[in-house]
Amino acid sequence: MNQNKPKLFDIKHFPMDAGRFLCAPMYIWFNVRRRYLSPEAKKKLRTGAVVVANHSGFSDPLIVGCTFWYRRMFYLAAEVVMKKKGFGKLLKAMGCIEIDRNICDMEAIRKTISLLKEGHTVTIFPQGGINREDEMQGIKSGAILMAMQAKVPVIPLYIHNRDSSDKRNCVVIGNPVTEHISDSGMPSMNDIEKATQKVFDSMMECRSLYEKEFGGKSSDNG
Amino acid sequence: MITVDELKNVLKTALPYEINLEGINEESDLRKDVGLNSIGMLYVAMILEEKYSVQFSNEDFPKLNKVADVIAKVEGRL
Repeated sequence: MNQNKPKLFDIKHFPMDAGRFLCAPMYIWFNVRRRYLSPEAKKKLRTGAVVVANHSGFSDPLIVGCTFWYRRMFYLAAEVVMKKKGFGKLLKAMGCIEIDRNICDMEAIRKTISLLKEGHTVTIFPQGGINREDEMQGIKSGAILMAMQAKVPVIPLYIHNRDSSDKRNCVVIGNPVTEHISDSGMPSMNDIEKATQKVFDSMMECRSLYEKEFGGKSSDNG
Repeated sequence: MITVDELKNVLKTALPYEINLEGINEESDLRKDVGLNSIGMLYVAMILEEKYSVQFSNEDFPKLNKVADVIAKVEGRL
């Protein structure tokens, strides 16, 4: 497994670090409540990792950022979002990597793998877009493919957006998945698909824990 | 240099299911005949990059339709 840790201060990530500092009050506004599937899931992220989460609203990247506030977090963002005038540049400065979903975007993938190898964390929403429906959509295996290449674990996450501003956003963090990490050559696509299924199952488990604890509704304040 | 048989081994790794690649030749279509999807194509590129020190760019993928195109790319003819 890749054990590289990112530098605490890196001039090339200065805009991002400054943005994180300026956005600190956001942590209070988003008021994220964290739950963990096990004590293993509670361990702080210190090395490179791919965070895989469901995507049910525009605020999801910010909620993930608040959850892992102690880490620089990069995000894979769709080309339609990054192409917006001005906004795209801001997102890029804040650590978004543009990925074109209509092509095999090898350059975005290469950039993501390189960040992961440096020890950074990258969030991917592998359901292919925002899904506001109750049913969880399946996930694509691209995220696991990148984690496999960089030899980093995948952290499954379930995000529940609050229904109103007096409720709290809730995030359930699953156990790190490491099945795809192999020191003996490239695993087969079959193994990658199995690891993808395991990540999805873990996301479903996170969701079940949330529903068990809060009955499927936003958690109350406090 | 890469032969069709070597490429077939790469394709086997990149496919999520068992497939008989005996009938596959240089003229076979990667999507229709072999059954590669976009993730599979990416994985093939990743394996070839690691094994043959070749680099794939975004512009290469629309040109990679047949087995022969991949061989040409690895051999630097595309």
